[in-house]
Amino acid sequence: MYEQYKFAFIKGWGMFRKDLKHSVPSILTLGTLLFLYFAVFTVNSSVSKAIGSVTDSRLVRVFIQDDAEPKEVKAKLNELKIDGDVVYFNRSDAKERVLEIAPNADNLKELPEELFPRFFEVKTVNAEDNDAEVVSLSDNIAKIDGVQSVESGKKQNEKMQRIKSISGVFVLTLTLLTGISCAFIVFNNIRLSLYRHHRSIMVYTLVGATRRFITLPYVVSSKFEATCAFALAWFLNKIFVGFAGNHILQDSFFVLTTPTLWHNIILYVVLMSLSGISAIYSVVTFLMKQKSINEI
Amino acid sequence: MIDIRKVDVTYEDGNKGLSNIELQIDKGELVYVTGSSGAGKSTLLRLMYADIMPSRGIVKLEGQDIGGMNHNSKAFLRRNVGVIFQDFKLLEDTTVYENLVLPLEIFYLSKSVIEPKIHHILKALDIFQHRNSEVKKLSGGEKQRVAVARALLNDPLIVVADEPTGSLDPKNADKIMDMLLHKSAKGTTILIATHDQRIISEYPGRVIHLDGGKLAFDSKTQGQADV
Repeated sequence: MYEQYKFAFIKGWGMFRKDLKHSVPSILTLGTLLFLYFAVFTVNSSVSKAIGSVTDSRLVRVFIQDDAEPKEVKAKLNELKIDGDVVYFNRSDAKERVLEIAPNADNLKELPEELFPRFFEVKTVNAEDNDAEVVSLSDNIAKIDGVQSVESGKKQNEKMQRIKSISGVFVLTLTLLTGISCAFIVFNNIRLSLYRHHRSIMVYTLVGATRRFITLPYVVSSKFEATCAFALAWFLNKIFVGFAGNHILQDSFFVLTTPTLWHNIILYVVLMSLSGISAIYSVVTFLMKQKSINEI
Repeated sequence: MIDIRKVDVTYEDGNKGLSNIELQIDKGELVYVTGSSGAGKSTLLRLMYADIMPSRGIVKLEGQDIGGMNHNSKAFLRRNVGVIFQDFKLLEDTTVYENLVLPLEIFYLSKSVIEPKIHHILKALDIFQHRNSEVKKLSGGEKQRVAVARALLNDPLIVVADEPTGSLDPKNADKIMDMLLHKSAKGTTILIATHDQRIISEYPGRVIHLDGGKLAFDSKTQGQADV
């Protein structure tokens, strides 16, 4: 068994190198497609991450009036016996907090502290599974003297989660379409390669090669092609993220981050599986159509 | 060795390739298959390497019925059958050596095993000096010897040759026939489809004559006759 795979690997590598000039268009097409997918994936996962850091259903922000005394408001909040943390942010802290959420927002850095509101951040501990508790708590806090407004994360969160869900469905659909397209590109490229090697395939069949013997090198070759396309897409995405971060999103609170190592590993494994299945299907259906060595 | 019973072969277009063929060939026999074009010579030979299946009847090679074979079984069967074509069916853009590696590669043999085997047969067929030449640069006689080398490399039990001397001059034809006769003497069953009366008379063997897909004459059962 080891000999078979070793042979298939060597033969597949040789085939990949020999056919490289023919495979370049398909590698570029596959690479471009994967790059576009990576770019969308990157933007989507970055947006999701941003939404996650901005919204928290357990969080209630209590903005106080200009003439209100924070100590008095804090005392009233303590009377509500909130199961969680209550942290006060003065104008300077508020600015810091905003910059913490949006680290790249250089335009916000220039705003004077006076423009930032004073507020309390109330983070409940056990209300995660019960949004009604957060709403009820918000309503009670709003009745306290000196409180200007109360922002509960719940409603914002619902909106954001809806956006996240929609974008998740979009990425899932795009993943399926990209997967199908990748499979077709690999299928066609292998099929073209099979036509180029038609005569040698028929000779192999004549001398007693099994379908497995003929198929495996093509599977290996397809994996080398897919790896090249993946590397190209990864590299282009890295450039895209770097360029966007340094030029387009320079003054924005939004930060683009490349997919994590695990994301990359999963995408690579999926691509390898797809290219393998596609190559096997391409070779087997080709061999089934072949009739006789006498016809070459 | 080869047992053909009541075999019909009908092609997809409805043409009958063989009709009610009954034939037994023993191990080591040299058999000439004669007949005019379209008589069924090639069809009979193609049955020997499971390139086509009988529409009716049974074909047994070495006790194995080819009728119920799957792709893998056919592949393993073909490892015991060497095939030689009139038009060689070699890979023209590759070297002689690369052409001969193919039938050995399928056994996952190492280079140290493959190389001596190829060198031995190239020397036996007097084409060792061409081992690194591209096939397209060889003469017809040399190409046919490469095709013979490819067919004989794995010491097959059966060799099937479709007009192997058809495009060769007498000297080259004799070289091929000497080699096949030598193999036959060692126990390899040889089937040769040919029109070449000189070969048949100079290299004695059993003659089977086909006419319109039917067995018209068999020298083993009907004695010698002009065919």
